[in-house]
Parts: sequence; C-alpha cells; structure tokens
Amino acid sequence: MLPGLNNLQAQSDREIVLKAMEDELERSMNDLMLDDHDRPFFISYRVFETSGFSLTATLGAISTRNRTPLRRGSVRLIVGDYDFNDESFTQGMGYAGQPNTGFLRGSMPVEADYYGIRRHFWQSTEEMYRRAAKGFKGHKTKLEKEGKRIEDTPHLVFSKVPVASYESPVLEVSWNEEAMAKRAREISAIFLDYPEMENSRVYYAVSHDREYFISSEGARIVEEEASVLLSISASPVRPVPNFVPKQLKYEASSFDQLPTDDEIREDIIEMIAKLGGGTEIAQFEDSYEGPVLFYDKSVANLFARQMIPRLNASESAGIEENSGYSNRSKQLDHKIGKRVTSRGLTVSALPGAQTYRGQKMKGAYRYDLEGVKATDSLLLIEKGYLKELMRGRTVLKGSPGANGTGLGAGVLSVISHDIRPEAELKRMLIELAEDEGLEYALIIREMPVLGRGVNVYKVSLEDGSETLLGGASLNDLKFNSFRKLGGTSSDRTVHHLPDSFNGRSVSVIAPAIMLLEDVEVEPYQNYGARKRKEPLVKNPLVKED
Amino acid sequence: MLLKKCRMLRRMSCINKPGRGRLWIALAFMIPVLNLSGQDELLTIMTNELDREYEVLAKADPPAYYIDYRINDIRGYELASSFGSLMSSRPIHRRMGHVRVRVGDYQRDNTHEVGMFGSFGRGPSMMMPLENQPEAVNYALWKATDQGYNRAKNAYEKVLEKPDSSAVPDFSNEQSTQFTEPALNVSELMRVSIWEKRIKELSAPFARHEDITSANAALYFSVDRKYFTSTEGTRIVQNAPGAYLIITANIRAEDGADIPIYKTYFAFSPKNLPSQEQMLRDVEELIKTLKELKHAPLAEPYSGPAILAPEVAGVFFHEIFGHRIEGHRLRSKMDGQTFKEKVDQQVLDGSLSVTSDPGLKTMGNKDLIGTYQYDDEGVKGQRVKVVEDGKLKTFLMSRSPLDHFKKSNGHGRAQAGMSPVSRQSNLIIETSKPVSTEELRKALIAECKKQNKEYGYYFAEVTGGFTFTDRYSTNSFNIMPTRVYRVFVDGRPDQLVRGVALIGTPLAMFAEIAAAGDETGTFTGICGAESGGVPVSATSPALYVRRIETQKMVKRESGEKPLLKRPVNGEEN
Repeated sequence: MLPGLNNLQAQSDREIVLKAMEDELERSMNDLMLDDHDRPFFISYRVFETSGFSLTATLGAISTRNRTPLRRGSVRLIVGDYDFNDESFTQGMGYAGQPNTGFLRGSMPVEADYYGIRRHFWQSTEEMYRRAAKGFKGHKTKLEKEGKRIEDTPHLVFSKVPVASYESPVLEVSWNEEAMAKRAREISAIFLDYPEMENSRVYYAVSHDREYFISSEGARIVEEEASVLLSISASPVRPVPNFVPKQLKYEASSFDQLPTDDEIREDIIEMIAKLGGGTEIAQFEDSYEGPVLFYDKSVANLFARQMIPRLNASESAGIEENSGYSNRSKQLDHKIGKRVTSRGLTVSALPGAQTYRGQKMKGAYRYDLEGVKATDSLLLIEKGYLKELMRGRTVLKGSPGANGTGLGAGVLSVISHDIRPEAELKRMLIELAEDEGLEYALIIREMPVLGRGVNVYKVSLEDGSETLLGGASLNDLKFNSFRKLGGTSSDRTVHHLPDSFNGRSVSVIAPAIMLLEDVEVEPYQNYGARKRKEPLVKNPLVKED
Repeated sequence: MLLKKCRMLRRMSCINKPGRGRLWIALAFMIPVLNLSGQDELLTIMTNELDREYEVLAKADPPAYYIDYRINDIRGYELASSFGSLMSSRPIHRRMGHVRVRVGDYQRDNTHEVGMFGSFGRGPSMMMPLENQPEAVNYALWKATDQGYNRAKNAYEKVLEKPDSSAVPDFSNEQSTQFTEPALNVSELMRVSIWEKRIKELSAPFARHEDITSANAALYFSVDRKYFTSTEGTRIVQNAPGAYLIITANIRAEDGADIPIYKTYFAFSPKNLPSQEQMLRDVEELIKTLKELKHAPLAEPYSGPAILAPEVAGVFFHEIFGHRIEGHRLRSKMDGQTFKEKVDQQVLDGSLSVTSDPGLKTMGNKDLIGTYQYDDEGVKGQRVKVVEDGKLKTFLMSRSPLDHFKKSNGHGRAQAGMSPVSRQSNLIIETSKPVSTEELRKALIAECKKQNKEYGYYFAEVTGGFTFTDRYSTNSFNIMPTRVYRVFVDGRPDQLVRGVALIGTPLAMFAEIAAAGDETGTFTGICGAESGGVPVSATSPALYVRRIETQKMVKRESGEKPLLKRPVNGEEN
C-alpha cells in the first residue's frame, strides 16, 4: 500500500502553504505602490493542489501510468474601492461571468516550499497590480475628461460579503498502484473476447485535491476532496455511419464505493450489446419538428445545457465598454418577474446541498472562487416566472449583491407542477404528433452530446411501437422549448453533468420523464465517418475455429 | 518545396518538412529504465506478428516486399527546479511504435519521389502498451501494419503512374544482423531523491540577484531501449542511455532586454555528470557572465574577421556543412544539393578533415551524445570519413541510395515514432595544421588591420543554430551565440557585447576559413529535421575565419523592474 501524505505531514504542509500565501498577501497589501497610482484595496490568493495516480489499460495491458503532483495558484487584485475600481467598466470574462481569476502562468513548486510559493505570488501579484493600478487611473482620467461623476455613470461594483472562514479536516487518501493496475488490466481484458470492438480503453484514476483561498478581507478557506474515477470506452469495428460513442463512467469518493468487477463486467457486456457489436442500425434521416418525450439523463441534460447558462446574471450588460460581448443579449437580466418557461416548472439552485436523499451531489460546493459561501437554496424560476439570477460579487451598481451562486448552480432542482403517469405522457406524445400532422413521434432515452449524434426511438402513431434509429441531432434546442411543457413524471432522478457555463459539474435533480411539445430534431452529419477497407490480415484477437 | 531549416541548440530544434509546412521539434531528453526480466520477449512478440503479417501481405496485390517494426521503450525521470524550488519530479515510461511497409521492390517502391513531393516512407506511429501482453502488442501492430500497407499501396500506385528512368534504387540491399544487449537497470543508475536535492541547489544561487529574471535547472535521464525487427531477418535490441542536465537563466539588461544564458552537461549516466561542486562553480560563472551581459553594449551589424571557439565552430559545421552531407536529401529535386556533384573535389581548406563516427563513445573525458551501435534501420553505425584533406569523399547514408553510394553507412536515424532518414551522429572536425590560440588572435588582429577594422569578434559560446538547405529559399545559416567579445586591434581588453547573431551562406563561408586551433571542444544537443529530434555532437577546433557577417538578434523584453524584493530562502521580506 502506498499511502498518501500522513496526517501530520499533510497538516504541516497545509500550514506552510497558508503561511506563504498570507505573508505574501500582507506584504503586497502593505508595500505595493506605483508612483502616482493607488494601492490595491483587495487581494485574494487561491491555490489548487492535487496529487494522484492514473492509468489506462487496453486489452489486458497497461498503456499509460501517471503520477500527478501539481500545485497552481491564482490572484485577484483590485485597485480602487468597493464602489469604484479598475473593474468598474471593464469586467473580465472568467468563470461564471466573474472577473478573471484563472490560474497564473507557470506552475508552483511541487513541494510545500514556503519561499517558492511566495515567489510565485510575488511575481504574479506585481504583474496584476501594475495592470489594475494603471487601469483604475485610466478610468478616473476618462471620467474627468468627460466631466462625468461615477455616481451618475452605470458601472460595476464589488459587493461586500461576510468574511468566510472554513477549514475542512485533513483527509488521508491512500492507494495501491499495483492493485489499481491489476484491476484495470482485468477489466480491459474483457474486450479480448470481443474482436468486433476496437479502441477499447479503461481509465482508472484516484486524486486527492486541496484548495486554499485567502483574501485581504480576512477570508481563509481550505477544502479537501478525494475522488476515484473508472471509465470504460470502446467502439464497434464495423463502420456504422452515424455511430454514437458510448462510455461507462463510475465516480466515487473512495474505492469501496465503486461497483464490483462482476457488476462492471455485466455493464460492459450490456454496452457492447447496445453498440450493436458491429450491427448497423437504421438511421434517422428526416427533419422533425414536434413533440419529444425525454427520459432520465436526457432530461437532466436539457436543463444543464439549455437552461443553466441563461440563468447567470450578465452584470456588465449595461456597461458601455462591454457592449461588444456576445451572448449578453441572450441573458435574462431584463426578464425578472416575467414568465420565461411553462407554468409547470419551478427551478432552484442548491449549490450548498452536499447530499440529496443520502446521495452525494458532485456539483455542490461550499464556497465560490471569491470566498462567498454557497447558498442552500436560491429560487430562480417559480411556476414559470423568473425570480432571480445567479450572481457573484461583481454586480451592476444598484443590483442585488452576491447570492451564493458565484460558481454556478452546483445543484439544480427542477420541480414539475404538471405531473402525469408514464402511459399518459406517451399517449399525449402520440396525440400531439397526430395534431401536428406528423407521421410518427420521437422518444429520446440517451444523453445527447454536443457535436455528436444521439439515438432516438421512432414511435408509431398507430400502435405506439418503437423503433431504434441512430444518427439524430438535437443541437438546436432552444430555451423557448421549456415554455411548451406537455407534462412530466412524478419521480425525480439525479444526474451529474458538465455545467456548460463554467466547466464544473452540476448535479441536476429533475423529473425522470418530460414531454416537450416543440423540439427540432435533425439528422446528425458525421463527416468523419468513413467506410474502411477490410484488413487483409486477420485480426489477431479472432480466435482460430 | 523541400524546406530545410535545422536548428541545433543546447535545446536544439530544427525545422524541416517536405512540402507544405514547417515542423518544429523541440528538445527531446532522456529518461530511465527498469530491468524487467523477460523484457526482450517483446522482440519475440514483434517478430511473430511481423511474420504473420508478411505471410499475407507479401502475396497481396501489390505485394509488400519489406516490413519493419520499431519500438522505443523509454523510461526515465524528469526533474526541474526554479530559483531553488522543485518544480517537477516525475518518472516517465512510454513506448512508441513505428511500422514501415514498402510495396514494389528495392529498385522502385512507394517511397519514390513523384512530382514535387518526395516521400521517405513515413510509416504509421502509435503508442504501444507498456507491458508485453502479446494480444495487446499484436493488436496495435496489426492496426498500424494495415494502415501502413494501405498508405504504401496508394503511394505506389502514384509512382507507377509516372515512370521515370532513374537507375538509382529506392532502397538499398543490406545484410541482415542480429544483436541484443542486456537491459539496463534504471533505478540503479539514478537516485531520484539525491538528484532532486542537487537540481534545487543548482538553481538556488541565482535567487540572490534581483535582476536575474528566471533561473532553472533540469535533469532528464532516460534509457531508450530500442527494438527493431524486419522481414529481412534483422533483429536488434539496444540501449540508448543519456543524462542531460541544463541550467538556464535570464537577466534584465539596463535597456530592459531579457538576456539568456545556458550551460549544459551530458553523460550516459547521471553518475558520470560533473561533480556538484564543479557545477556550482559553473553556476557562479554564469551569474558573473550574466552581470557582465547586463551592462554589455549592443553590437551593431558587422562584417569582418572572427574567431569561433571550438563549441561554436562545432555548431557552425553542424549547420553549414553537416546538413548538406546527409545523403537522402540529395535525392530530392527540391534540395539545394550543395555538394552532390562535388565528390573528390576540394570543398574545404586542405588542412581540414571531417568524420562522422557513431561508434565513438567519448571525446577526451566527455561522453558523446551522438553515439549508437545500430541505426534506426538496423544497420551498423559506421565511421565515415566524409572529407579528407579538404576533399569530399562520401555522404552520410541511410538506406536511400545515391548514384555512386548504393549502401547505407548506418546513419539512418529517427526520433521514436518517426521514419528514419540520413542524419548526423558524432561529427568530428580535425586539422592537420593546428595553431595556438595566441596565433589565432594574432592572425585575427593582422587581418583586422588589413581590412581596416577597429576590432574583430570572438564567439565564445553558443546556444544553437539553424539552416535552410532547399533551393526555394536562400541557403543560409544562423548561429545564435550567448557570449561574444570584441577583440580590439589596439590592445584594449576584450569587450563583451550582446545581441549578435552570426549569419551567412555556406560556400562563401567555407572559403573564408583560414586556420584552426590546437584545442577541441564538443557541442552536445538534439537536432531536429524530417525524422524528428536526434541526439548529435559536433567536435571541432577553434576556427579563424577571415570574414563573417553578423546581424542584430531579436530583442526580448524582460518586463519592468519589480516593486518588491524577490522572496529568497532564509531572507526576511
């Protein structure tokens, strides 16, 4: 067994990193000063560190092994004050619409090296200070030249928030590289019996992440997390025109939470069967506009992809210098109090909800990148009416301040007020299709992936029978589609998906089945798919008869 | 268009790509290997799959007449520090595979140059499993062979469409060879914890000097265990170990320019690198030079006499001469072919001879990075006297023949995963009339006076260079020195200057070489070209050149002077 850092060493490392961050931050606040410019009024430092091990295996052999000690830092520095500062007219475009707090160039020392960490922040803080100090001076000069007062000019402010203090307990994470390798070999060897599959790959990784945040306001946050990931992918050898890739993915916070080898084997065999094992499936070739019944992950995915990005506030929309930013007109800032979806939907962000019915919420967070505590619940849409948007600390003067959703929804809860049994939803689907004059209706049971195709089920209007078709595409689904809700099932399921707005995960708690009345489905154009020649030499995995 | 631009650097890199683009290849270092019992079973697995494939493809239409498999099993460590902090420390293990399938016959095959574009039989490359699981290895080779055969078949169809009368074969006939050497035990060759400490110590002293803007030390140690098997029956398993240590630092000059300096070391094993005390003394020298460079004046463009120190002369020869004697390139109608028709003619001063010797392991007390036993086409690396008493005798040959040179002399080389072409190994320049350093200086000053120059130049150290050899751009070279002095005719002390690049065209420059020194030096680096980065060395005496030309280097800005002091270990800030 190769243990990670023992508890005492880990505690000591944490203290060294924090001390380096605090000492350099204090020095920067006290001593950074360019002639004829203002001092910084706010600085925050963030350090993200991870250690772990990952490997990939193919056909019973390890193909890559990596150990990952990594430490990276980021700096936020503001010159001016809460009401008027260098970001007032020129908000950067970082995560979730927040000012840019991305990682700094270059990595930090891999050891808990007090001076090395300070050097990293020293160099970056100076660079950011010069830019911010000159930027703020530029803002003041511009106002003076134009004879304007800041009070009369639309601008962004840095909202005040309670000072956060949180230190999670030190985690002791250990792993056995050889045991992981053995398991990956064994799982990947399953594909030796399936020569009809290719590009099979097993990825197995463990990581121990730690994040530090401190600010000149006195915030001090240290969070730790461990995660284990096992993913399995493969594709059929036989050319399937609009092939939809499949991947099995198991995520957990410890090894013992992963499924057993037998369970994984069953899943792999099922996946191979679903992929057709090389059997071609008929293709979707129409242009369809009408009702679609969505199931499970495809429902959650609609909310993650089509709704969440629109529910982030676009604070800089009113700022002249930001008028060129795209997407701003698509935000819902001016629709608060108005109806934006069907009355059958109520949507809330629950970023602080670490669990739901005993299940860990992968997207949940405790604090955002600005040290703001995640809210337990924020009502965004109530029975179709927009109530609030998600926002961080930088807001338009006069707007409400940070509301604990600075890192996005984290956990999105969707409650339906239009509940129907599954059979009724399917009947409604058929009736709506008939009403639209369509020849068939569609059901989607898989998660569509951006830029890729999705399998659909063609539903006969006569007898309700279903036929699987490959190669459909949902790329153009619009937010307005949520206005025409046909109904949902009563049960809700949880799915962890990528938050397309900020690159994190979001856990979506949404109805298991949802009928939308107006959806466009097109054939998926997979230009990369080519017919391959049959190799002259026999596949070495094909066993002799 | 065949574009050839080779850059030989401490962190050497070159550009060379036939046709539409430029390929940059940066420094490739070495990494370590464990002694795995039964590792050579990989050769058996490869050969079994090769036989299985060849049995079918040799009867296909068109038939494959030759296939080879290469696998590079690279294991090692990569350590880096900055101002005394450990920035990375990681083991490396990767296996790259490469498959070459040739269709047609030795005389005319799929690699034959058709129209504007030649081909050197670029085969598919792939990441291989790290373990000798036969099914996994076979499967990867099977897929790559299928791809390689189809690629070769398509190319051969184009060759058949355009018959030409050239009598030069496309592939040389060579005798098959078998050679296996024992695996090296990497964990015994390098103690990581000791080297982590040493690497930190080597970049730490720079932190005390405020104007030094960056300071890094890195050690790359690898053993590349190279497997080769071909349908001709050649079977090779050999080791290519190397420890490459590089120290780099930059200082902010008074005009804000960022000035770099480098120091590199190479040995086959970390234990053969210089002692820590020696390297720390070198670090102090680097700091001293950086401080001098900070105040050094910028040099203006110059034309006149110069002395190139041995290592600089090595890079000079590698660029302006070495790349023009690489045989495969002379087959191409796109190449400048500077020396193609000059065999047995005087191409250098009669006192100079040039040898390429991949079998030579050391020069003085220095391990030579360009050493190997068999090249990447399975041919024994041979000592080649390219120039004898100034007369060109032959070229560096891979298995791509020329009119009068039908056999390989073991210079077919490639980076892991790439197709081999003829490349340099250990280039050695010798003089039959060595003169002392003092005499070189006297000759320089005399020539300066004759040319009415206030000073000549002494190029003391260099970071690398590059050159173009194709006929569609100027056949020029560019050497990038890091330490250059003005040598005054009136006896004033030598003056360090900065911002100088040594430029020129090859034939004009050869004619100006007037004398060579009595001491040699060896430049070590990775050279990049069509077949990727390969380790090379160049050993030369100092050269006195009657006329060189310089141009200004691009100025890199270092940023503004910091407002606060750099945090330094043990100092209060």
